[in-house]
Amino acid sequence: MALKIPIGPQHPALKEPTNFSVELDGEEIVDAYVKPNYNHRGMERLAEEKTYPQVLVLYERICGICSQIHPQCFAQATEDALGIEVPERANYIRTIMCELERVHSHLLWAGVGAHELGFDTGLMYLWRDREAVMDILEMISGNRVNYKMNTIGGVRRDIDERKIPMLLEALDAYVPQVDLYANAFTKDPTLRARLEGSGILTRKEADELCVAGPTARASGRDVEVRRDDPYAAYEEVDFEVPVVDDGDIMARAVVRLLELYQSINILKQALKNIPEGPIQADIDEIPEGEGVGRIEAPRGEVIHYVRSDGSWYPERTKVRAPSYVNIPALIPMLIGDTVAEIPITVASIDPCWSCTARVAIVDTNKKTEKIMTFEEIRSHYG
Amino acid sequence: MFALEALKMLLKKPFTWKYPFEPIEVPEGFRGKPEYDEENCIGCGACAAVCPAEAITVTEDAKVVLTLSYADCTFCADCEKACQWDAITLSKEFELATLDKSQAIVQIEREKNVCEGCGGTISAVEQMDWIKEEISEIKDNIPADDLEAITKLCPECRRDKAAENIISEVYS
Amino acid sequence: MDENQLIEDLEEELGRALLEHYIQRKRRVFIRINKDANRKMARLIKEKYNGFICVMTSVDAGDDLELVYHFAIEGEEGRQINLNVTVSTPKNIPEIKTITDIIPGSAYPEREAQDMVGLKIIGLPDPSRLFLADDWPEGVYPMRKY
Repeated sequence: MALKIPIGPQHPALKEPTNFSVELDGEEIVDAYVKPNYNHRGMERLAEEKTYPQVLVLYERICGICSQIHPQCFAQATEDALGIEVPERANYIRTIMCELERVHSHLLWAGVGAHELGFDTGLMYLWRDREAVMDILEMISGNRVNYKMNTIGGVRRDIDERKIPMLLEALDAYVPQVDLYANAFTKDPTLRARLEGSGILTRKEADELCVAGPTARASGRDVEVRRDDPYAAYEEVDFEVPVVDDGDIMARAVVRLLELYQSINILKQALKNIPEGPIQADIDEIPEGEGVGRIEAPRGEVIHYVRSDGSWYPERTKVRAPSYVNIPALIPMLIGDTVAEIPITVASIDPCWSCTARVAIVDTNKKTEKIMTFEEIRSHYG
Repeated sequence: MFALEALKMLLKKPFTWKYPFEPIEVPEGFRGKPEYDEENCIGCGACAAVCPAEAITVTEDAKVVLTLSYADCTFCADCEKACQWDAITLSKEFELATLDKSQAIVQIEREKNVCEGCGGTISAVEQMDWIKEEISEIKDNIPADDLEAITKLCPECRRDKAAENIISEVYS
Repeated sequence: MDENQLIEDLEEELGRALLEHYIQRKRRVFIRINKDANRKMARLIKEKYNGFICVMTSVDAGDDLELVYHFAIEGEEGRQINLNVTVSTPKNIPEIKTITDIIPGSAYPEREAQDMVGLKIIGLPDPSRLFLADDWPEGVYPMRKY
C-alpha cells in the first residue's frame, strides 16, 4: 500500500503556504497532488474597487520579489486599454528596473536552492551579493522592495545621470561573482550529484502544460516574452535567450545563471543608451477598452488583462503569475523521484505561491485524512 | 576554492551591519515616514483621496481633521505627489515601531466653514481662502449671486438653490 | 503570419462562428466567437497556429458570463501574437465545453473560472475546487457582480 505524506501548508522546506501530498512506494514518489487553495487573497476583486493608480500599489504587493513586474504589467495592460503612448525614457527606466529585479531574483533563487541542498555557505554568499543589487534598487526607487516606480503612462522617478557610471561599475563587479557561482553549481561534484537527473520535466510535458520561464527553457521549450512580444525597451537591446534541453534541476540552475549574464548585458546597454525626454505621458480621458500586458518575470511569463468601462475604476482585471502554470508541472517532476528530492525540486521552479493564490479562508480538509491542529501537534511532540 | 575564500573572509570585516547598535544610512530619495507641514496644509484632503491604503482619513465634525495612521501607511508617496502645497513629504525616518498603536497617528486640525443652508461642512477655512484667491481672476465671468453662494453654501445646498432658482424662473 | 493574415485565416476557418474581431495594435488581436466554436478554436491554436494558452479571464458581464481565452500564437519574424478570444454564455445556461483535453495546460484556468464566476465547464477531467476552500459554500461565486 502506498504511503501518503502531506507536505504543508506550513513546512520548513517551503517558505510559503501551500498544500501538497505525495504518495510513496518505499522511497519513490508514485503520485503527487497540489492544492493551492490554502490562502487566496482576493486581489482581483479588491482591484475593482480601487482607482487605476491605487491598483498599482495593490498589485505591487502581489509579490515582494516581483514588485516591479506586476505593477508594470498592469500599467502596460491599462495603457493599451486606454490608448496611452509611453515616453521612450520611461520605457528604458522600466527595462532597467525589470532587469535589476531579475538579477536580484535569480541570486535569491540560487541562494534558496543552495539552502535546500544544505549548502548554506552558498546561501550566505549569494545573498551577500544580492544586497548590492538591493542597494541599487533602493538608490533608484527609494525602497528595497515595493519600488512604486510605475504609474499609468510612464514611471514616477527618473534615474539621475550622475548615478549611471556608478551603476555600470557595480554591474561590472557582478560578473566575476556570477562566474564563481556558475563554477560552483556546475563543477562541484556534490551539487552535480544532487541536481543532475532529478526533477525531470520533458519537452513534451512542458509543451502540454504550457509552462513558462526558466522552467520551460530548461526543458527545451523556447519561450521568452522579452524576445517574442517585446515590451518596454527590449526591442532596442541585444540579448540571447539561453535554452537547455536536459529538463532536470541542473538545467534550470544553468538557465538562470546564464540569464544573469544576459541581464547584466541588457542593463549595461540600457544604461548607456537611455534617451533624454519626459518620463510620463499625459492622460486626458479614460475610454472603454481592453488590454493585455505580457512581461517576462524572473519566473516566467506574467500576463495581466484589464477591461475598462470608461470610469476611474477597472471593470475587470486578471493576473496570471508564472507559478500558476509552473506548479502543475511539479507533478511530472516529482513522480519517480525520492522524498529527499522534494524540497529542491519544488524550489527549482522558483515557486511563488503568493502570486498564484490571491479570498482568505482557512482550508479544512473534510476527507478521511486527519488533519492535526496546532495544539494536537504540540501535545504530540512538545 | 572555498577554503581560500574562507581564509580571505577571515581577514575581512563582517559584511552585515551591526544595526541597531550602529545607524543605517538610507539613500537620497528614500521613502520613509510621511510628515505633515502644519503651516502649508490647507486641509483640502487631496492626500486622503489618493491614498491607496486609506491610511489618511478626513473627518468633518467640529473641525476638519486629517488623520494619518502610520500603521496603515504603505510609503508609496502618492500623497506627496498629490499635494500642491508641499504640506506632506516623506522623510528618511523609518523606525516607526511602537507598542501603542494610538501613538502611530498624526492629526491636523483645521477650522471649517459651516454651510448656511444645512449646517454641514463647506471646506476648511484655509482652503476657502485659496478658492477665493483662485476665483478672483475669473470673478467677472461669474454672477455675483453664485460667487457669494460658493463661500456660504456647501455643494449640495448650492445645487438645491440653483434648482430652486430655475424652478421659480420657469413658473414666474 | 501577421495580424491581418490571421484574421483572414480565422474568417475562413471559423466562418459564421467568428462574431467580432479587431486588431488593437501590433501583436494584439481580440476576437469574439460563438461558444460552441471554442473547441475548434483550441484545435486551431494547437495544430495550425502552433500556440499555447496563457490564462483565461472569467467575466460577469451582467446577463452573460464571459470567458476570455488568452492565447499566444506564432507570428512573423519569430515574434508571438497575443490572440484574445471571448466567448459568452447566458447566465441561466452557464455551460462551456472544456478544451483541457486538447490543451492540457487549460486545466487550472478552467477550474478557476468554475470557482470564481460559476461557469460550468463540461468535460473537465478534475472539476474539484482550485482556489476556493473546501468549506466555501456552494453556489457563492466571489467574482460575480450583478
